[in-house]
Order: sequence, then C-alpha cells, then structure tokens
Amino acid sequence: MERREFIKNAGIVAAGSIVAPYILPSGSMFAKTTAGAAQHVVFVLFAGGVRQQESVLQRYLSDSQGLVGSAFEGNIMFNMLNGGPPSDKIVFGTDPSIGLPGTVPIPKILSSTLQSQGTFFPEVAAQGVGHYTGLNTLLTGVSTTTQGLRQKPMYPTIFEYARKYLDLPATKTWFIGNGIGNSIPLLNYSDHPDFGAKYGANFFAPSVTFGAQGETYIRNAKPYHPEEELSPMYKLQGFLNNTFALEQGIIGGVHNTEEEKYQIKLFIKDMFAKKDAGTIALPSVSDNSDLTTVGYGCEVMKAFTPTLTVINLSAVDGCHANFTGYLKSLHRADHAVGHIWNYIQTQIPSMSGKTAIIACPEHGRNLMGNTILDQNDWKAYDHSDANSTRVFSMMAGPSIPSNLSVGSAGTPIGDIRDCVLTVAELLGIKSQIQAAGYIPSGIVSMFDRI
Amino acid sequence: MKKISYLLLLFSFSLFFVGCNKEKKTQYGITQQNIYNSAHDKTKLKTDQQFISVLYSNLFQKNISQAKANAVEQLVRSIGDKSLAYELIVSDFMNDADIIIPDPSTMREDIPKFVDDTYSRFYLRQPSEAEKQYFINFIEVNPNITPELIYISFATSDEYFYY
Repeated sequence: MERREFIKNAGIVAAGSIVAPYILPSGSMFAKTTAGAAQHVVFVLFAGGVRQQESVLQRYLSDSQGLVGSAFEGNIMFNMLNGGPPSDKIVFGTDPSIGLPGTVPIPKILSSTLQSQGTFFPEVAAQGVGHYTGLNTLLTGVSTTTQGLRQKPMYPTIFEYARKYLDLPATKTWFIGNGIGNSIPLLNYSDHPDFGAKYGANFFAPSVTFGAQGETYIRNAKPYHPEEELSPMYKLQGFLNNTFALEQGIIGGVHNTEEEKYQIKLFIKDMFAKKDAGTIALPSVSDNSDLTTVGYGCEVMKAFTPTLTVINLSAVDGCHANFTGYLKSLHRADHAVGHIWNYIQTQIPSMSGKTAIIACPEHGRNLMGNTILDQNDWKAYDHSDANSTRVFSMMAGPSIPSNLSVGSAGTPIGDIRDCVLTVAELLGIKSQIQAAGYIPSGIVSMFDRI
Repeated sequence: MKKISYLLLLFSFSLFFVGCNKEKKTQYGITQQNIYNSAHDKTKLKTDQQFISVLYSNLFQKNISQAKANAVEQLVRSIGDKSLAYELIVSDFMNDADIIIPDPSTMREDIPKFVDDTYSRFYLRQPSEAEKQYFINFIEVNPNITPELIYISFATSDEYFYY
C-alpha cells in the first residue's frame, strides 16, 4: 500500500465512522459519552518536584538561599504565571557570548500567560512525595500505598479510560516520556484486568527512541513495501499468533493495527530525517532533555493529532544536588509548556482552538535545604517533608474560565488526583469513569472545584 | 627355579597383551534436539534481555555482546508497542552482512525442509502437519515471500516471546 493509498483508505474509514454506527466491545452501538468541551487534551506532567516557593510564590532566591530584598524575588515562569521577573542574580537563562552564565532569560513565547488564559489553582495537595507515586496518581486519579515502584499502575490510567469509553485507536493516545528510567515506560497502561494493554497508549521516550540507541538499531530498518512485503508477513504472523493463542492467549503490549504501525514507522523515518535536517519542532531554546522531549512531543501531536497526549518533564529533579541547575530547569520547563501551547495554536490547525492543556507537578520539594552547595554556594533541596505536598495546577482551553484563580496558600483547593476527572470532563467521559468506581470519593474535576 | 622362570615368562607375555591394547577413541558431541513437542509447552514470557539474546543468536548464530544487548533493550523499552519495536529492530538486523539466513532459491528448492528448519530454529519444535502444510502452500503461492520476511514473522510472533 502506497502512502497516498493509505491516507485515502484512512480517510474512507474516518468518513465511514461518521456516517455508519459501529458496535463497541461493550455491545452498544454508540459510546455513551456526553460531548466534551475539548476534542484534544494535552496533559503536561510538570514533574521532577517543583518547589512551591520558586514557582507559584515567586520567591526566587528569597525563601531558599536567605537573600533578602525584592531584587531576589520574582517570577521565572514567564509563560505560565503572571508576575515580573527577579532583577538580581539572574542565573536561570542562557549563557551570553560575553558575561556570566545564565544571565539571559529565555524570551516569553505566549503573549498572554496560561494563568491569564485559563484557570489556576495555586495551592493544591499532592499525594506522597515520590516521583513514581506522584506520576501514577496524576494518571490514575488514585493514590495507594500498595503501588510498587517497578510495577505497572494498579488502577486504570486516563489513557485506558479514554480509549475504552471513546473507542479510540492506539495512535489517538500518546505518552511521551522524558526517558526510560524510574519506571516511566510502565505508565502507559495499568495491570487492571478490566483495562490494561488493549487500552494502552503508545509511548516514546525520544531521548532513546531517537537517540543513540535508535540511531544504531532502528534508523536503518528496511522500508518494506506495505502491500507486497508487509502484508504477507503480517498474514504469516497472524497465522502463527492464532495457532499460539489457541491455548496461551495473546501477549501483552500496546496493540496498533497494521495501518497504525505503518503510520508510526513512517513517523520514525520522518523523525530521523528531520533530525538530520535540524527541523524537529524544538523550542527556540532546547538545551536540556525536557525541551528535546517536548520537541518530539509536538511532532507526535502534529502527525497523529491525538485525543489525549501526556508529556512528562523531569529535569527540575536536579535540585537534589544543584539549585542553580534547578532554577534553569524550571525556567525551561515553563519554556517547554509555552512552546507546546504555541505550537498547537500556530502549527497544528486541526488542534488549534479545540485543545485544552492541563499542567500539574507530581509533588513539590522540601522547605529546608540539604547540605549540598552548588557553584553559587546555594543549598539544594530534596523532597520528603510537608512542603513537598504543596503544588499547583492549571488548565486552559475551550470552555475553561479565563483569568480565574481558585484557592490560595491560606485556603488550599484541589488535589492532584483531580486531574484524571478533569481530563475526563474535557473529553466527555467523566460519568463513565466515576461509574467505573476506582476514583476515591471526594475527588472531583477541577471544574467542580470552581 | 625352572618353574619360577616359566611363570615369569608367562607374566611377561601377559603384560605384552595387556599393555599393547589400542586406546579406544571416544567422541562426545551435541545433536540438535527440539525441546518442545508443541507450542502449548511454552508458558513463561521471556524477559526483554532473554528475548534479545535469543533473537540475536537465532539470526547471527553467535552471542550478542552485553553492550549491544543493553542498548537494544533500552530501545525496546522506549517504544510502547513492543511488537513494532522488535519488527523495526529485526528489519534493521536484516541489513547486517553477518546475518545467517537462507537465500530465496534455497528455500524454494526444498520448502518442507525450510519450514522444518525455521520452526526448529525459532520455536525449538517441529511444526504440526497443519502448520507445515499452511506454510508450504503459502510459500508456493506467494512469489514475493522471502526467508527474510518469514524470519521476521517468526521473530515477532507471540510464541517466540514465550519459552
């Protein structure tokens, strides 16, 4: 099958799906969903442990390094939060050709901050202070002490809910990870018997998939002809699998159809070509792993226009040993979110104006520093105390109230477990997820908190 | 005294016969054995490391280096659809000049043998009659099918993930 023919066929299938009803696995003719406010949701796991003091509270060096004075206070998340930047000891930017490193802040991308464009929850409760626990909670809406670190989520993820209740193919849900460490690749579906791999999301860890390993072992994968070579190959594979499945059942893993696999293979080829040409959709500054991850995330969105895209950031976790590096990473994580939102609005017409964005850290960081000093003699921060459970969340997009702030440091409103039902409400599947019965009572969508 | 001399002579002769026995040469070797009677004997999922090692050995008839195995395993973990990841990796391996694979003409010269050999190579078992007949028919009626494509279908099939 040539690419043109594949696209034509895909178009016919898409058209058919509009005019002809189909029977879902549940046996019903149509998914029982209410129309969501958004056709696409991008959920940024603003992760790695973001200290409330340097983010929402905009204290820069005041509440961390004992520097006193307004010059050491200010906002370093220009795209997400309202507020002016600090004026002294600027270290979070890029390096000028002449002068001290980090002294050139990255220019703001968005003309209006996400805080202004949407609804902001400045004081939200995290569940636990571990990365995997936090990410798990963000994706399942459930926090449990029995969840193992090297274990797939015990409860269904938002990917599985979306695929099951919206009857989505695998290529319409994507999880873009910042790497393959810390069990990140396990988060694209749960072990839950009623959900699991068959409703899982596609996953890439771009630093590996398109990094040295991908360059060596898949870049030159033979481009077999889809009709003359791949089709008979898949037919044989199907025969072999059917024979084995008689007794054993099918193996796990996300399942893409042959057409989806072909589409993903073309995408991978395209990424290596774009990498060579220097045309990956990277932000204007792309000097850390989060920014590279986001560039490939934008490419995934452009190619597949997913209903749900989840992108994980984590570079701020360098704060365990280097506070200066943490400030740089936080500034870049904001740059990454600004780039995602701007790219969707300006480079993906089919998602522009129809996409909602949600951003939330998985947990915060400690109130008191540890004993490690960096190049500026600034203390580093771990995550283990009550301050580490203080985070924020925000959402913007269609039907989301703009310029609204809900709660404050004195009156915390919200829980990171709310994110699942918020995505669900935006996509029109909140009632099904609630009916499934795994989200704890008291957990609602952010809309319900307003 | 004479009796003793006879006995000594007899003893000397007996030493000659015993001492000059030709040493028996014993050789030990390995005969290729299929260890499974059917697919149903396989119940355990291979780990990624196991899968990669076995795959490489099957295709190249030699062991994979630890560094290479680690890199491939990391790559597999970075892609959500494992089947797709392995399909890409195997098709990339097919570019390697060291890969040991029959050429299409050899396959078509004796298709039943090729089918037996392929099942034995990848699944460590012989095909059932139904499986064998299906493959023979499929190869006969599909001129585009090559050992390479058949190897990919085996290497990415569900049974190959189990042991």
